Amino acid sequence: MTERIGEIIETDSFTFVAESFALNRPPALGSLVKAQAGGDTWVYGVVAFGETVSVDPGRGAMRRSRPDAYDEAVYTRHPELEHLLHTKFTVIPVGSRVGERMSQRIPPQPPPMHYSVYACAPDEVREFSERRLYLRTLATAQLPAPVEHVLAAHLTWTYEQRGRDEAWLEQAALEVAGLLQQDVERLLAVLYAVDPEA
Amino acid sequence: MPLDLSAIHPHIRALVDLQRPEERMRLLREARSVLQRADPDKVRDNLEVRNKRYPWLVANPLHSLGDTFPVPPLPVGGYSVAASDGSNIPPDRHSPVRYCILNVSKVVLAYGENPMASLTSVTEMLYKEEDLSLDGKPLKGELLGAKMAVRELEVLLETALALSAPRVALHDGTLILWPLQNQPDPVRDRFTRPFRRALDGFRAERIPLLSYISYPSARDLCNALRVALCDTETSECKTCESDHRELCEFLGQLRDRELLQGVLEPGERTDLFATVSDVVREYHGHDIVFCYLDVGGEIARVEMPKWVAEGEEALNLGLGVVLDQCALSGDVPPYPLALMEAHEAAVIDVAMRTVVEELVEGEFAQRGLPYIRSGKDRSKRRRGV
Repeated sequence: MTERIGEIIETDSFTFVAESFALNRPPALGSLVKAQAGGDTWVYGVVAFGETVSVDPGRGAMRRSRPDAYDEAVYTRHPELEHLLHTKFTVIPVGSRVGERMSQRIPPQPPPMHYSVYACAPDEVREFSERRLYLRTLATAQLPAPVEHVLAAHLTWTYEQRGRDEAWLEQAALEVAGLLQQDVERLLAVLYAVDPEA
Repeated sequence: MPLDLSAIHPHIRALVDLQRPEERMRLLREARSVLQRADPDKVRDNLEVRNKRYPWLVANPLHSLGDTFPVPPLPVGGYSVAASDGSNIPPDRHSPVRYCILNVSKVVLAYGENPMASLTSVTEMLYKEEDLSLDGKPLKGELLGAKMAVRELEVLLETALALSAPRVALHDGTLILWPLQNQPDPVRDRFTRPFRRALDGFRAERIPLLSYISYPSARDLCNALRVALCDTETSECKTCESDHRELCEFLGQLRDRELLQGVLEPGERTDLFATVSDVVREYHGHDIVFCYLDVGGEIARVEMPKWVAEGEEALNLGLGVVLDQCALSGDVPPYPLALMEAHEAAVIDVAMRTVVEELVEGEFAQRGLPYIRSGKDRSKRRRGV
């Protein structure tokens, strides 16, 4: 079992938001994560956004640093910040698994509120990304960030997780090119971003 | 637009004119000069030996009237501070059932090698008749205020006991149970007894307890200067022909924080004064002492049990923690961070108040009981046009 990294605090059919257990460290943009959905059902999704904000929307963050205490020292001087701030990440569901059966369809039900989100191990990433139907789901989702950045982040992250699998990256890039053929600027943004030579 | 601003506007200028800035400055200079040279023995003598009664609160100087002291820096290695504050949902006259919710925060901030924070609260629901009234008086207004003050001090003690030294407990507001001032003895006793027990606990464990009053409106020190200026009875004030009359009347209108503005430098405190109040007499041996502290941008009043003031180490640690907490707040004027978080952890917001009411209403509905609020309340909520 991989590491529990967060708990779901907003959930609907097309998006879920989890609170990260590590303040200021949401999972990497574009990374594949999975949410427990009860029993042997799991929902797979791609991290499309991360943010650290005040727990109380009515209390904005304010400057805490001093000339002699900044960055990490701010947290040493203000241990209460661990309780007043939280880091959230948004995930786009792109597939699911029931028992051993993996699917790249949007799950019929959103993952339950307050259930856990886990990181995916490299083997699981490899298995899930063997087929790339889910890239279409990701490319057409309502994202909180520009789609080209999320796609590019996902492709480079998966490429690394698959042990720098260039054949996979080439295929994935071709598929993204097909998905974004109507929008050359976006396509170029993805292709430049994923170029291992860049 | 329910407020007619045009009706107020002409009066705002008149309000400012009333301040008479030049005259005020002259009298303030005189008052500050009296603060430096007045005889503290005369104040003590009038208050204690002659046992004169004054219709105002008078600061009783433990030592000097006008001396000031820098608060020494905190010892290196960090400290722990406990703080607590309270919020409540009072019994609602417009509701068919009477209940009261108390929420008292428990805040711990620890600094040093292992910094940590804990921001929680203790929530209680009172609904039995014996909890909602005292000697036939309903638990609301002043009595509810006293109840909150007692619970806050009890929770603060419980929180502070779990901390390792050096530790300080910060209470919000005054340590004097003013709401009890006009209450009959049996009612007073119901509150002063547990309050005293908590004060005993702080003393037994030697936990410096300090209470912090931001922007204090007290005039105790100004009144002490009036006592130092004059020997006559206050009943003769109206016919007074003394040279000091103008200054005395000015001091009667002046707040201690205004008197001390510029007298104290940031990080400095005044000397210590005992409070003179009937309520404190019922603390049986826990005299309450106070000083003023310039926290950088504001003169705050800090109250403490006398044993804290008498121990140099406890006093300096307590005031040092108050100053450090103010510096950590990052605000101008500052306010101790632990108390800020204690307030935040205690507060019951409007949404939560609604949730509580809906829970009660829902339980009534499930049991098939009617839950009908007053017509007046319904009309205010609906606000139809």
